Amino acid sequence: VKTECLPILAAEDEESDAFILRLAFERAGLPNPLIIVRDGQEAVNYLSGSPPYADRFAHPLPAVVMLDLKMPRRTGFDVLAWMAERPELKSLRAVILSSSSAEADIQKARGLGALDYFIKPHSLPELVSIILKVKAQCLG
Amino acid sequence: MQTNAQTARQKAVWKRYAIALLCIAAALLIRWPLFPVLGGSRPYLTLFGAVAVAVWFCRWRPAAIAAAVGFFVANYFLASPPGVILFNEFFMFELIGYTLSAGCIIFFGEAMHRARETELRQKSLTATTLASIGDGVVVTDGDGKVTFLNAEAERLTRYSNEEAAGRPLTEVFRIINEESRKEVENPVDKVLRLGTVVGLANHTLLVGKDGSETPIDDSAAPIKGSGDDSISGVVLVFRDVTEQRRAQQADARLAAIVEFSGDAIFTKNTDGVIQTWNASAERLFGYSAKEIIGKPISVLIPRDRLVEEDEIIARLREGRPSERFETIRIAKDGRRIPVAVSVSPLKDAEGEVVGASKIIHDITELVAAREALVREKELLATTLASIGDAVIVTDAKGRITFLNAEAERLTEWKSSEAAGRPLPEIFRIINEETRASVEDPVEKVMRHGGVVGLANHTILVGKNGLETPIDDSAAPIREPGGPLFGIVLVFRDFSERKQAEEALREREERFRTMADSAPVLIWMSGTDKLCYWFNQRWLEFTGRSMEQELGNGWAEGVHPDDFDRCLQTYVNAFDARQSFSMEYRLKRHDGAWRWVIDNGLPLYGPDQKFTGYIGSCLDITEKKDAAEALQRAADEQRILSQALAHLLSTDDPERVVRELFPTLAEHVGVDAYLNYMVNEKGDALSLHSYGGIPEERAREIKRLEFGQAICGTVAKTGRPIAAFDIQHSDYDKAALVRSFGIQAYVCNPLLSGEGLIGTLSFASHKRTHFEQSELEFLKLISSYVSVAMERARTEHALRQAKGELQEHATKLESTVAERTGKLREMVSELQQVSYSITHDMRSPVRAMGTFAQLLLDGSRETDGSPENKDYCRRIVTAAGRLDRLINDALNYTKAVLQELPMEEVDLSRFLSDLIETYPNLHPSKADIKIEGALPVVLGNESLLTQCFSNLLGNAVKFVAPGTRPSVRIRVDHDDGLGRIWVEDNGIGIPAHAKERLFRMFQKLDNQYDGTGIGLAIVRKVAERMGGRVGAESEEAKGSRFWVELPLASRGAKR
Repeated sequence: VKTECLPILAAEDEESDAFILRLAFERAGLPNPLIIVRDGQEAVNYLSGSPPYADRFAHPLPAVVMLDLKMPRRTGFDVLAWMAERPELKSLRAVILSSSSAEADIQKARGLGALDYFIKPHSLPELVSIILKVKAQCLG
Repeated sequence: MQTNAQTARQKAVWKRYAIALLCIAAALLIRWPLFPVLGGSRPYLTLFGAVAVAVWFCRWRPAAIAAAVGFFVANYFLASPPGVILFNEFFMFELIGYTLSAGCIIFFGEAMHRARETELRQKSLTATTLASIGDGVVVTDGDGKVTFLNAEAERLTRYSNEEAAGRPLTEVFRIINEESRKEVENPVDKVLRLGTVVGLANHTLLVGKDGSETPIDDSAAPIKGSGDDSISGVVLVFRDVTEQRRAQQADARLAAIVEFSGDAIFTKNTDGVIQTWNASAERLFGYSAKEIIGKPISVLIPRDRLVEEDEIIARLREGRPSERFETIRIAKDGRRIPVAVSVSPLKDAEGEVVGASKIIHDITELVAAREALVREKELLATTLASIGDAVIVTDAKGRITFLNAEAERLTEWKSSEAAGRPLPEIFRIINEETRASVEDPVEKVMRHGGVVGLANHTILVGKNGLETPIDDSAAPIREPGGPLFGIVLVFRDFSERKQAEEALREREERFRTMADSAPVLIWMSGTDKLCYWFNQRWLEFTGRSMEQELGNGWAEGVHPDDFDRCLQTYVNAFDARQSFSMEYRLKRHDGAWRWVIDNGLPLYGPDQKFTGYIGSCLDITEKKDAAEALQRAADEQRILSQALAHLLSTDDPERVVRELFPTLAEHVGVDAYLNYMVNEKGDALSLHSYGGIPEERAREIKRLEFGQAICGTVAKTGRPIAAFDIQHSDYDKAALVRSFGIQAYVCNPLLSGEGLIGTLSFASHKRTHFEQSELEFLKLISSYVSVAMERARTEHALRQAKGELQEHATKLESTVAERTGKLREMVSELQQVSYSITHDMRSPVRAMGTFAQLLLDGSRETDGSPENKDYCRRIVTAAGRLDRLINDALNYTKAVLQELPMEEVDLSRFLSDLIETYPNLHPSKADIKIEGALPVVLGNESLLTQCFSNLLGNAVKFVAPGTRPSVRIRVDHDDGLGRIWVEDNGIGIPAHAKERLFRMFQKLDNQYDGTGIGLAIVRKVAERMGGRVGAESEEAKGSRFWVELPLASRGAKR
């Protein structure tokens, strides 16, 4: 399985942010399918292969996980912590895309194993460039 | 004679020639019979032997002639043809051969003969030498067998040469050790073994054949053949050392005598230089032999006696010995030693005087003994002459030898006159009463042999009739166990002694008179401890008679409390014969007890015999009283200081008064006290504490009105009252205390700075009066108590105030804590809100902006009206501004609230990075120039980013349209602070706006996009770093902003 074909899993609770993210993906022109889950819990479900994501053919493990921090049920931090405890997910890369610019949040995310941390940009082109950067880091 | 000798020699010569010719003839005769066998060949065969014999016995000349004769004879008769001599070649040949052969034989024969002659001569010489030398010589062969003994050896071994020859040496030469008498190793064996010359051990005795013994010393040497080392024999040479030994022994004996003599013995030469020095000399003078030998004798002689030595030397030169004389010599340590010296001359073999030997005998002890004897004699004589008793000494026959001065006086004889006369003539004694002669004590002594005394009442009659009563004794003089030498008679003028006794009695009388008139009481006791005498003063003092006081009668006057103690002291001192001193009370004639001090001393008679005690007493009652008063005063002082210490250290004066009371009761003689205090209302007194009064009575007097009873009166007037002998007075105020049975009462007011606080009364049920000093004392105590009470009250109030204050502080603290908590909660809530704003508010704003942008982007192709486009653009702009506003507000909150670790920030690096990060500061947009090096400051990099991004952002933003922004950054150093200037070419700041420049949400110009928060953040950051901000500007001339930040260190100041 080539990394280019593996999906990218994004957890984003905000409808409009999810929409913009998808738009930015299209603009970026990545071949990888983008799977957006609504919160941290769903991300955990997907990654652990719990229903409704039990079928790994339909729902293969992603190449990258993009996490918002502030989400219902499980936050981005929770997902990072959960991932850190799973040895089988050790090779899975995670980046944070959050609107928080607080230094404390950045440090905490890096401490929990996030590969990179991006502050949600104000404009679409900036978001596109972020996605391209993630691609260069994780899929290139 | 000469001719005879010549003739004899000639005869011998002819004899030799004859023998030689005979030999040849014999040889020819021997050859003759062989002729038939040998014929004419070898005619000279036997001639060679004959020549050899001739040369050996007759020497070479006869032999040569004989050989020549033999040749011609042999040639004539024996060679063929016989009978002729053919002088042919053959003959020549034979002649030459024969001559050569015979010549050789003659030559060797002669040589051998000569060698043998020499040897024989030598042998005879050696033998003669050996035989004649004084030492014994024994020669052995290589096997140790004797081959030769010379005469001396024969004498000593008792073997003759012939007897000894061939015997083994050990048999002939038997040697033993002188002391152990064991066989000594045979020296010959040793020589044969070692091949060298060996000597014999000392003390070796040679034992002769007949058992005679001779001390010898010897040596043995190998005889070696010439040319090789093989030993062909041994020569043993030894010597009889008997004489030598004897001489040595004599020498050694003499040396030992000298060495071990108790006297110092040394010798000197005629120049007076010391040559020998024995051990006693070393001991006596301290010089070792080594150091003194070679020194002149004068070192031993005192300078003043050097002349002695000259005399000695003069005598020596004449060869006369000096007789023993006594003198002084000096030891090494300078000690002068009395010595006896004998000097005798030393002569050499020719009788020449070469020196002297001195024998020095140490006579120190002798001299000392002699001196002691003289001293003793003198002492004795002096003693005898000076003693008060008369002494007469007689010899064994009773004849006077000595009278001392006193004896001369009494007998009226001079010692010189009396000497030699019989004792009775000089020492005439008669009975005092009968006037009859008394037996001569000397005869009595002679008879008894012991000391005898004289009868009483004896009178000595002097030469001129002087009569003296005497008592006497006589004693024999003798060495212990020895014969009688004489008698010593000692007697005394009895009349003087009588007078002395009377004088003594008189003295005693005088003493008593004096003692009676002395101002002290005097007593005397005997050895039985009982008193036998009191002086008049004593009797007057006690008012008793001598009879009453005698023995132990005086003890009745001693205070019963003191009696046992005094008796003990007296008896103890008496038994130890020590002086004593004691104090006790003695009853005076008027019945008063008076303190006396009694000093006792042991008494001794003239013969040092203990006779009893004498004591003197002095009335010290007044002194004692004074001492007691002093003691009392000291006690008072002590109580006062104790009370003061108590009172000042306690916060409960009431308790102190109670505790103090027993001490006061004991020392002042009070037995009750009452302490009233003014009650809280201040209208009456209430009983605060009390003592020595029954509780039920105390309850009755719990409250006193001012003016009521004594205490009330004192409280009212503020003056102390003392009431005495209350039971017998009619003082109305004292009615109350009178009912308590109190006799004396004193009440003192307790006064503080503000006035009366109470009263303190002391009372006695027993005493009717208090003395003035006691009143003073109690007043002082009262004043102390009032001070202490005042102090306690003040302290109490102070403590209360302190408590309240403490309580207040505690309350305040908890309030502050509570409020701080609330505030913290609020701040945290606020932080939460900020966080939410960031997250939750920015998200929709961002969506809004993005979607509006999408609309705008998408409407390029679609037919959006220009209005719609404008609206969309406005939405995008508004959303952007809102997002920035939120972002800035959030940053401001951060600048205010964020925890900021301070670190060193290098401003040069920091600002370069910053300019690079922000696109609006890039060189494409603006000229930003950093002038000079910027310092390292202390700050938080994240906050400084906020600060400088805003400052620089403003600098490039607020410029007139069309103007390219130009910014200059430079720094001023101040003490510990760096002022960073940011100067732009912007629009400047209007003067009226300067005040609110750094306030929140202050926008000065609507032309420019901004949130109005930036400079507020700048200020906040600077303040949190410990710095300041400021701006200088004139409108349209650009602005100059500055930020002051703390420098990392002075070292960073560049």
